[in-house]
Amino acid sequence: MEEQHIEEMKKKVIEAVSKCRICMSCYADCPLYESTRGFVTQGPSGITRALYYGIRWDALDGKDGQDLRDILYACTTCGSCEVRCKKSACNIPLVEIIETGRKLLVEKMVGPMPKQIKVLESLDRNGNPYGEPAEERTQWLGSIDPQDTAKIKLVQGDLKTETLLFVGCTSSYERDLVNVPGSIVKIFNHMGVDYGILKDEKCCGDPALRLGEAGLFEEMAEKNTKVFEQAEIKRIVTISPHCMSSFSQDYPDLPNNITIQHYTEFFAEQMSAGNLKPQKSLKKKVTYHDPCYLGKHNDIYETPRQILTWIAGDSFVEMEHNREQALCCGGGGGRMFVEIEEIERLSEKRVQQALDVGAEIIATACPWCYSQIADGIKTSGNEGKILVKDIAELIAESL
Amino acid sequence: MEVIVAIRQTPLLDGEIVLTADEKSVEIEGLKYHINEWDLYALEEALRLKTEIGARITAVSVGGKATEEAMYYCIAAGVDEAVLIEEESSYQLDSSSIATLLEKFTSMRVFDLFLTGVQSEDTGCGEVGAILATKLCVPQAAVVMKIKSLNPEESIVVQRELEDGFSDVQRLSLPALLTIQTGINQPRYVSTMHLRKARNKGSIMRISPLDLSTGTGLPAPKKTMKRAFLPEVGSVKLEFIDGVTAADKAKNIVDRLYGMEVL
Amino acid sequence: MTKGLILAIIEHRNNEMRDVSWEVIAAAKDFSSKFDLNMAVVLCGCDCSDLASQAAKCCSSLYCLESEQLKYYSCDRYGAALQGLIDKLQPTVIVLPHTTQGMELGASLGGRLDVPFLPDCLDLFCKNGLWIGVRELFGGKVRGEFQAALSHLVIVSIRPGRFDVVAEESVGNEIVSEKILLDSTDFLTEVLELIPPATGGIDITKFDIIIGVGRGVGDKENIGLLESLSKIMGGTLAATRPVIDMGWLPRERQVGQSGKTVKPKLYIACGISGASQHIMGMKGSMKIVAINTDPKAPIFNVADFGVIGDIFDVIPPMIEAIKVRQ
Repeated sequence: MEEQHIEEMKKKVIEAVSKCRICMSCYADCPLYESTRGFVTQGPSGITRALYYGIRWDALDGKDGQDLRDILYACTTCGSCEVRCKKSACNIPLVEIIETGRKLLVEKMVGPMPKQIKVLESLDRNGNPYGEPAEERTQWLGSIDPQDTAKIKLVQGDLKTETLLFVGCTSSYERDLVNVPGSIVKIFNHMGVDYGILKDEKCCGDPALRLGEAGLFEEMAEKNTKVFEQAEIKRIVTISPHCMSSFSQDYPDLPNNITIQHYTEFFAEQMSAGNLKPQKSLKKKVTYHDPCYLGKHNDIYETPRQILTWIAGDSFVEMEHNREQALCCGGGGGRMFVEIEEIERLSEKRVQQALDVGAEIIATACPWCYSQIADGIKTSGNEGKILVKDIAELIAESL
Repeated sequence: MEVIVAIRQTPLLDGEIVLTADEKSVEIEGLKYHINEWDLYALEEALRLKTEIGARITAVSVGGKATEEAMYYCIAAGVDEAVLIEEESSYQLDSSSIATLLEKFTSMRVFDLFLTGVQSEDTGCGEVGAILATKLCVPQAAVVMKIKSLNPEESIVVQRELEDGFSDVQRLSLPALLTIQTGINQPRYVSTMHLRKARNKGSIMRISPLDLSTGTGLPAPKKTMKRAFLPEVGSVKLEFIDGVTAADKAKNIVDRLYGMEVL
Repeated sequence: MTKGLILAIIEHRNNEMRDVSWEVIAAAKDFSSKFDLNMAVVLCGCDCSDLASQAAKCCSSLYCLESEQLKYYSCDRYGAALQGLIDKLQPTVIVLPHTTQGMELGASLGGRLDVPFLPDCLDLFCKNGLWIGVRELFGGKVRGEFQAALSHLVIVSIRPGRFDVVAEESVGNEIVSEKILLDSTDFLTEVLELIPPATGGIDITKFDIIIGVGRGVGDKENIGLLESLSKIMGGTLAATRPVIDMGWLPRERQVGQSGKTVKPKLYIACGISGASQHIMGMKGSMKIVAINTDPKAPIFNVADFGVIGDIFDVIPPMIEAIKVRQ
């Protein structure tokens, strides 16, 4: 990276953090601050201030750099802080600052966290962050009903498709989650939508960008953009809100005529249009966990609720901390790939919040939230008392 | 302080293994490469010396066009000089020939420390370091797990990993050669932007083996691979446990173990 | 025409003969009869008459090279000491174990004497006067026959654990002791200390049942499942080097070439591919069960029972099945 570019990033951070009033409003919903020892450097303005001084005092290398790295990479990038700061009129782009700090440390070869290095290597080599072979990406199709898979168009080479279902790495490779893409496929087929799935789908690049590897992200975005253009795609429906967010907000050159939607948006549209008519069949008490990248990052709060109310009616209950105040599951910002010491696990806390309102099902719409919450149910010893379901699964079950 | 690090690129054998038509070797055409894992630790250790005492680092490798990527990686990681002893058929060279080429190169240089990895992931001979040190007449220490102290231009104290949990500590006069064991440090992440910059702006010093006055062509190998084959997996005693599902197999193996009174 | 000679270099550490020495003597015996060679064994050390007597019980000709400088192994000292004996005996083959010492010494002697070295051989044979060593490549996925260049001497190191140890034979054996004149000023290295393994903590070698954790476990958090299996079986956890290097388990649990050697009644290898360095440490187990998704994994070369499957699918029902029986 050009020295000038690094200087620009440093300047941007100094300027942005200088505006902070240190009002501490941002700590109110910060999941990191909640779940760790409560040190100031574990909250949004503390983290950004640490970065500020790291730059001012040129302490981005060696042991200092590593200490700063540990602070910066603990953030889940959920955006709760930005929401609060916006409300309290300072409107400091805290997450952006933290991510810029990560970019700086990567360029200084201090970041990312050692365990995340193989994630980046895997993204580059295999097109997914999990170290799984690229060739096995569509193997999940073998686990679902052949009648359903028969209707899927596998897009590669010269094949075109107007609507693309972007499955995403977690839904493709995580065996415990295979029911999620399976349900989505079932719903698509039920609606008779003409759609395709990429035969050689590669990661959207979100983990690279969140970890501070802007160069790798650029390359991945460029390649994916070309693929989308070649297949003449007009609409991309994603399973993960992270992919959706990445395409809408981070991809620099995606053609304007491509509509990016999370599947909840697409399905809600289809429900309004009468093409999708799930039965009001869910009797169990169900609550909804707002994924940060669907809610806080993209302001999609009501659409998933509309769908759930349609299916569950009065059985839908709201947790105390919902929408903008929803507690982050702890999976975003690269946290899926590294262990941060927590006094109280975020996922377990969230499960308790669901139990507190008598929920029997926690519904969510993000594969990482799903994974984290499922884990939280297990580790808190609540298996059998409550379970996690993706909204897609609930819709499919109600057809 | 001058430090030289020898780097080897090894092919990545992830998928199915294909042998050459004459069955003398593994087909490396079309394979991807990466830097030998041990050498990454050696490289990181050298770069640590650069940060701590301002050592000047030279990365050297014997290889063809494909090895350029490894050299750019070293440049991106922060070495001061990257040297490629260009030889397309380098994959056919044995450890002794490589050591000879490196010896010729190194004898034209002044150095304080020469680092190699313990062995390579592909051939795993672990020879180059020892042969090179012997030919250069410098003291050597193999399987170094820690550099305990360094008196630049004088001596270095290292801890070496031995079997059964033993280790020893040796002092070597400089110049010396060390073969570096994995786990000695945490190799840094070299970003895509750094690699791009290295590819665009970095320069690799290219040397032909002929420049190294090795007489007529390449040094004669001390050993050549005459046949390659895929080992049959399994042994006479191996029994695969039956079962349709994993749960079936699980039950069956537990039954067998109880049956044999192992459990 | 005089018979050639195979010279075996044996190894000791901390005043104890290392097990590989017996293997190397067995291998040398095997080669000497196969290739019609005489055989001699050499031991380097200081005040090592006890070790020499031990070794002499199973070989007919033992050379003991002694010097204060040979108290600890270092490549240069051993090389200097052996040089004289090699010049005198003019062996056709030198064989050593492929250990941290053997691999360095073998290569160094090869460089010093300008002769071929065949490292880490699984087998050795001679065709038309040329020596061929069978070696592994790519961590064991491929094997190759390596032919040494024509030479009056070839150095070979053998894979530990490959050759079965032969029982001792008392054969009225000859020990030739020689004091080697070496001075510390002859060398540019100095062995400061031999550090024995740390004591305390857990000694996995004492357990009858060991659950081996390999890279297939995926992440540190997943080890909990294997811990449950180990607990219910009354065993303990061990791990391969990569798992230890990543800090998922403490080093005292490492099994393998640079870790511990274990011989439990039962070793269950979970998600372990079977790199030779690990196999070396556990192949002596009485019964070995390997759980792996890859039927071609080298671990199945030493396993008694193979379970093809994902450890996360296989182990929970195993735990249940054991619970039922308890």
